[in-house]
Amino acid sequence: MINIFRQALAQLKAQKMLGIISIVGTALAIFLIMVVVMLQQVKVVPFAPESNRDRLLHASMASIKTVDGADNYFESNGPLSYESARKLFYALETPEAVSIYEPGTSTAPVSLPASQAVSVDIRNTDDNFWKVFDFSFVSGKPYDKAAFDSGLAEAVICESVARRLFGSVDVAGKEILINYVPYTVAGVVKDVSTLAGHAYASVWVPFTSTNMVNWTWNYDIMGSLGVTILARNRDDFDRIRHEYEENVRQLNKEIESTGWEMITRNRPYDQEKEACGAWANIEPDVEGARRMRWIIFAILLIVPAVNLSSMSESRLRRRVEEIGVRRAFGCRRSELFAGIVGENLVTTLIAGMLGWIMSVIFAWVFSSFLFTAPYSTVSVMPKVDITMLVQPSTFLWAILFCFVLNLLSTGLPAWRASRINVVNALNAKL
Amino acid sequence: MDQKLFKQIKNEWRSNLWLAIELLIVSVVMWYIIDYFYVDYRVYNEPLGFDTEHCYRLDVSYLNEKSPDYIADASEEEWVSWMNTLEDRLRARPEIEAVGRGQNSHPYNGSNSGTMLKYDTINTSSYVIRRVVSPDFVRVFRYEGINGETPDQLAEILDKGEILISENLLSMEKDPGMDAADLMGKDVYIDWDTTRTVRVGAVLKPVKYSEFLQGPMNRTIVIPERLTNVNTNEWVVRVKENMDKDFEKNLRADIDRHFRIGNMYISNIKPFSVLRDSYIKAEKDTIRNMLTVMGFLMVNIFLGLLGTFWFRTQQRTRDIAVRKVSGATSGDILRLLFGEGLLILTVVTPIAIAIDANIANLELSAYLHGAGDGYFAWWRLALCGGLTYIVMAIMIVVGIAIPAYRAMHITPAVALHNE
Repeated sequence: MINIFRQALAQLKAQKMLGIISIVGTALAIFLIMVVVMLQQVKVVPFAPESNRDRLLHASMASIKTVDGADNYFESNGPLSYESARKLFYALETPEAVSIYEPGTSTAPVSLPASQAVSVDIRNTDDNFWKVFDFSFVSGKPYDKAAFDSGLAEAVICESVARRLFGSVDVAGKEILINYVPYTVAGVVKDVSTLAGHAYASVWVPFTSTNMVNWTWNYDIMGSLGVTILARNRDDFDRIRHEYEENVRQLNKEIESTGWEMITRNRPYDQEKEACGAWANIEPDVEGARRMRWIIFAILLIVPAVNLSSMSESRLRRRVEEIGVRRAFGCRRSELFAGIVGENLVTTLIAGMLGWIMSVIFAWVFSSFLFTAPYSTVSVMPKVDITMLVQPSTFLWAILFCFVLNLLSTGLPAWRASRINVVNALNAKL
Repeated sequence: MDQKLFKQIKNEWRSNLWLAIELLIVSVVMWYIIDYFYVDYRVYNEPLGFDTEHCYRLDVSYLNEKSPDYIADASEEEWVSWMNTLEDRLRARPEIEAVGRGQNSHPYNGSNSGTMLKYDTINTSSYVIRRVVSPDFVRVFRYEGINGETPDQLAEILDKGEILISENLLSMEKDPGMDAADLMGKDVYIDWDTTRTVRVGAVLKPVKYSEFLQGPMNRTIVIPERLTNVNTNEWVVRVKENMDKDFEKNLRADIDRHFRIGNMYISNIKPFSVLRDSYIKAEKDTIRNMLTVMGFLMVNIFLGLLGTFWFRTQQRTRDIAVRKVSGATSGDILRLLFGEGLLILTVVTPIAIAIDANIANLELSAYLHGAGDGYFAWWRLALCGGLTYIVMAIMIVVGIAIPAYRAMHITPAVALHNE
């Protein structure tokens, strides 16, 4: 093992320029691959308050179309009314919790009585919202079912809003104006990154305390609300979808007279599918998005691998005599092959680590440039926590890609080198 | 000279094969990216048909009964009068040039509505964007007519209760038998409503949905709000060019005093520059990613040629020294080395272009809407293939330059002292 390290270092020293090129080439490839991996990971890996992402199913939007046989074909795609959402989702039996809430945020004036208002991002939710997502409360507690059912004017605010209004965070029980309506602060939570797209807001209020329930369209089928389901585990997903489809059939019977019919577009979606769609009228193409990522990985791996292959080959050519001697003294082909690949793996891993560290630093420094979601209506930049970027899985991916790159770039030259005829090798003939 | 080149390339065929494979892969990917940029460039440079500079979107919200200021049981007339007051007060601000309202109408909108137009045998079949607006909406975004109608004139036409259609309205119909411009002044059916006709008051220059969008969403019918029962709840304003500074801040400061009217209030103010950035971010991200991949590929060509030729000039020190002794100038040696790299690229390029053409024929490349373009056009392939060649040639020369520089400075006496 130590020998392999020594060999690798000696090789780097003997061919400085080729060594530098190999390291830079590898590091750059791993760097870019890891940035792509991280771009995807912030969308799907769990972090507070979306700690249960792998157990979530989303139906932020719904779709209806005119019943078959109508004169014209129409579609309406968007959020649901409370009435429909309740019938379709609260009625589910398998999930651990179901939350109905505003799929996006809106902006609302918030102030202390008799002072100028500030605009903040607000989200209307139900009480289950606090079960589906796990917020850290620094003061007070969430509004409960009783408060939600009776439409009490209670609000949860985030730390930074509390500081801006009161200068402190321990403000549960105090009064603020939201949309010129007096609310009691039920609780204060830690600020949420906009990357937690479903949970994010600065202020949360029960939608029964506003007029949101009345904002409906298409015979009260569509409205302003979306849904997130927390399953007990992923194995329940199919059962939940099945139950949901049953509820859709039921709802379609009830709304038959309106001339509209609900279509599911295979909703609800898991976190990955939800993350790769932006439009309510198109089912997100997870396979397509995955394929695209693999093509990018392939390009980022194959091009440098070809490069490095050519260099490994050049380097090995300088060592034919050495290889000949080793073979003459009984070194087996497989040993030789493993030795060469192993040596290179040391270099690849060193360069790979370099690339990975660079990618984390880069992603952290340029987070707003990298991670701001398109079509976003929020007013603040995404905040990236280092724990979102440094996940055990990212680390494993980095190592895996190093192995692949190493094998691609030294496999063929090493195989050829290990098959050289001993006599030719001793005469330095390749 | 050329023979020497070929012989040299043949002698090093194995490492040249590696190079050729690399250049081939890079060439295809690079062409794909350049072709994509070409399409984006063409689409981006089509006239937008609207102008959002110095424009703002105002969110107007409504109090609910939990507010102490809520006016219960307000009548329809009261709501209308509040709306008019809000509009008048905005108009009275010296920095505001125009105040408009619309539903799913303003640019960079996440939502849209569709409509159709029927006249004689024409019955539009694909999606047409329906913009229900107050007359001044067209003054805010400075729409223009194809016959030189100004935004002010278009607003007057809308005020008369006539509709505006875009010049490209019929561009996606099969054999419409006429142009949209021929519908000027005609009475037509819209919105699937065949109980009444409306008059086409003017034909607009095409209004795009957003910078990078192609296709049906760039066609529109603009309908004055009073022909519909739509609640035009998106408020938009245009600020005079020289008075845009601090507009948002000043208006915000005045909300409590002037812009809480009855149950209505302004809840947010957003410049269209922000809406635009957010809306076109998806495409800008794609461009950013492609540029990164392109940069990566270029660095790889550079590193690949640097490495290969570094090694080669090292191997060939004596060979180069002999050439020098026999009278070769530094320029000759440089040409020989560059020639080697460029010749490989030149050999690989036709193969790459054949692959490119296949990719385009399989409709896997970028799509450009419009006459005869689509996925594939010979001159587009030639242009983008040519650009790819040039970009790669530059990187090859840069990559070889460093080892070549070293080779030029070989002193024959030192290199050959063994002989």
